[in-house]
Amino acid sequence: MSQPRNRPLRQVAAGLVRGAVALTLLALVLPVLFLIPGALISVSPSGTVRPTLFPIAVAVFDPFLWICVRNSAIVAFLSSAIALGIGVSLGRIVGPQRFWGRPLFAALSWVPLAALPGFLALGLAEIISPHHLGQALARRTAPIVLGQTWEQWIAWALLIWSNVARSAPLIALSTTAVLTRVDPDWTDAGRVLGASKRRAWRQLVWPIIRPEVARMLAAVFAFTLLDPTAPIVLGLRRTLPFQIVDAVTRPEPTARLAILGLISLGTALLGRALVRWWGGPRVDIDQLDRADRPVSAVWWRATLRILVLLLWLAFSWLPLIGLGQIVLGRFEPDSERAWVVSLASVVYAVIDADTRTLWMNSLFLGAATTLICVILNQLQRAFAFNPDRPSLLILGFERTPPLVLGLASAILPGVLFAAGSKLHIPALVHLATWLNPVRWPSVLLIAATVASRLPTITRATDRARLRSRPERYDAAISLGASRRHARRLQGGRGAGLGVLILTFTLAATSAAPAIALGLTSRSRPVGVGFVIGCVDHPRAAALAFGAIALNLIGLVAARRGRSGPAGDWFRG
Amino acid sequence: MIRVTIESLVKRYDRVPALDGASLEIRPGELSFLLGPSGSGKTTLARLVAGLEPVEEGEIYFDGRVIHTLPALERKVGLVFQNEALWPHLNVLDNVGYGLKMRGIGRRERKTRVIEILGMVGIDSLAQKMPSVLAPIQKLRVALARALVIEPQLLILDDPLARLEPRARPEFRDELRRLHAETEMTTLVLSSDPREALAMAERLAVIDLGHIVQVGPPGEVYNRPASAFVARFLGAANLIQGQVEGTDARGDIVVKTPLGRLIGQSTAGPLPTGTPVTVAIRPESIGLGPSVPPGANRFAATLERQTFLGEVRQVNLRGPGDWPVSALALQSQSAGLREGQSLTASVPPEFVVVLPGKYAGRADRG
Repeated sequence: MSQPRNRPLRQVAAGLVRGAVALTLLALVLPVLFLIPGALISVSPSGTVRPTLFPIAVAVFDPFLWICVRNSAIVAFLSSAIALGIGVSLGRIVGPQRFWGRPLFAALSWVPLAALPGFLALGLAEIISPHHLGQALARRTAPIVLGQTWEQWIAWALLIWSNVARSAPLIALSTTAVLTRVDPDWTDAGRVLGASKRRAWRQLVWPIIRPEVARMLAAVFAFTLLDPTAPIVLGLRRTLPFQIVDAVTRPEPTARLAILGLISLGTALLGRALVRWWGGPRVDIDQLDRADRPVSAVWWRATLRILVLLLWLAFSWLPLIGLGQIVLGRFEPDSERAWVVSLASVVYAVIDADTRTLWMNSLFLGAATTLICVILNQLQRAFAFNPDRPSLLILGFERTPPLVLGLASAILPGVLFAAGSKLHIPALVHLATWLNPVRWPSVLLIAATVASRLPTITRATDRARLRSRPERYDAAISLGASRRHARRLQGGRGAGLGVLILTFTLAATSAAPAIALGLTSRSRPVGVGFVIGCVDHPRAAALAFGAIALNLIGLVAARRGRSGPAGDWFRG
Repeated sequence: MIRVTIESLVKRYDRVPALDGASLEIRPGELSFLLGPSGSGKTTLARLVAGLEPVEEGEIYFDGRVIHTLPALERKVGLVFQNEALWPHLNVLDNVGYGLKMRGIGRRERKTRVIEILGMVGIDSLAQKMPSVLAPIQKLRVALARALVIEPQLLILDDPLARLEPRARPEFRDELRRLHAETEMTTLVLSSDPREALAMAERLAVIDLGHIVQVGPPGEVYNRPASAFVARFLGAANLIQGQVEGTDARGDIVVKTPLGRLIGQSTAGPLPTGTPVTVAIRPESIGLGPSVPPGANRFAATLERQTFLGEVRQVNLRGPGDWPVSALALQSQSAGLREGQSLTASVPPEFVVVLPGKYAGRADRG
């Protein structure tokens, strides 16, 4: 048989595309790699660039920085631990057994997923201590310091509360997903041999699901460690994300920013690694063996579950109620029309020019991110040497917190400028100028957001591939279908429209990595607009509700008809 | 060795009865089979006996002692699950030793006893393996060892051969027989495969829709089915509707059927004249050819089709009134048969089972 004449050409073209995709992925991860040289350079006021270890030494011996790292690590640890306990319990409650209202309670329980911790923190601050804390937040002149007054302790508690309200549903979703693969006979086999139900769970089920839950917990730890929204809303200055945002907006020297980024990345990776180590290796669960025995919970157990779910709803929805209270205005005995005034200010805030700009920026960011993610994912898959395995580079993004991605992108122009000046390469200096994050639309912002959201689509495509059925393709071809139509019938071609919508909404409403790029009011998306403008409570609450509504649409779209681990969507 | 008595067990799932008054007795040291189609209530019965589900109504006794109120641990029932239910995160040693661990037995003694039981079921070399790397028959042996190591009073195996390749089944069947002979443990095997049950059981119970419909030695249950369901479920059967005409001199029942008058024996005792009945005849009981045993029922038939099945040949006949009848003939006996040929079919009265009531299934025409 003769080879097609254009085969070498095709191979060359495929090689070129493969190279281009690899280069693009590398370009996305490059800013993170540039953190290391960024930490080793010093630019004098006259513009002279020289390598130095001085900034590292300053950072290492800066007790304030380590206090911030310690505080953030403690908060992340406590938040993750509480979220683990609540999430696993929630997952078990809404998991295998049926009871009245279960789908409704489950849906309501997952709603806080759609909110950034900062949104929840704002609502909580309104509910818990509207006068003292609210005024303290409004002033924001005296930063809250751990261990000084009861107000500050409340602020730390609210930080953990808002983190838990957002993270526990992720753990719960991850638990329910893995519990659907757990064979009920495993528990029964233990019970026949004499184990109590509790013991059977602890010794025979939990070790099987722990690795899966730990993977999500690792993501939760990294997220709570470096979420900038809640610490800023609560004015918790002695936290790592607060310091990063503060340093970017001031701005600090490039080396200081790079060191902050490296410390954040190191802490996040260390936390992740420890959690994954605790989780242990994945257990091979053969799904084909599973005994399917859906049963209804007995009445008293169903009642107990409903009560627990109601408690959880009270805990997780209280911040949302607080946000609503901000929007509607507080009831003041001496001012009966206060809520009308507040509502009017919200309406004004929603339709004014600044808000419109925020939303336009967000929508553009979401659309651009989704489009680029889809193109990169498809190209990477189509031209990968091993299409069955996602690029390790892409999955590497997953381990990099969005705030670090943003910070790395923020210092990239500085590093490029320094390198261009030192090595006398004008092109690098021009590139650095062009990459300035203040320019709109910022290339760096989109690149960083793509890097943070690409793993979601890659994983969703992976799952779809697992669901594809080659025999359907063969059946369609044998019945005379075109290859294109047969491929469609085979299924598993892409991430699915729902996941794309969710990628769009999450990219549009996220605060990190955008917040680390020091954007101007003309180029900020909604998440950053919320954080920067959170002193204006009604306006911030209105933005928060808009973002929550958008994310809920994304969640519903992505969840429809799918039973996969939805928690994966929030890893970025 | 214990005697297990199950009395009028009732269990419902979402108001749908899975067991509806099931009663059964398993004799001490007996290898009993509970045979029934999927969804008939076998597994539910096993779960109730093992203490995995609460009993709604009825009683369970071990040697006259009420056990359905006891927790699973105190019942000492070894249960081999249909899908083995080996814990994927524990190796074979830990899987098998778990029951001993629950009984507070120390690590060293546990290991000794586990190795001993693994040797007994022939997999002592697999002690350190994880379940995911085992072959189905090895998994089954591990599950059996896990059930046996606690020295149960009653061993229940839930459809143990269902997931094995046909070639591996005889090996495990022999293994199970040997183990039962060695341990003399009261054993109940749940099965949906009549061949397996007929080959192995000392006593056989047939369950349908949550009722135990017949209990007895395999030969008796096969040859003297208590209902059309049992007759059909245990193997092929010609079910023919008819009406009792009376009894003959030997006390056998004479039934008027589309094939003519057939003399048979009733499993339900004497039946009054005019009672509608179903006559069950196993295909292998039907003789073809000129030599008819004395006293046998006979009818004329035309050979419609014959199918080669290996050792035997299935012969489809058309009897009087165009009634279809199926027979099995050995190769040597069916050599001269031709399609369209007229012949005389015969069946001795002891192989004609008269069942009260009309059979509602499609078999009323064959």
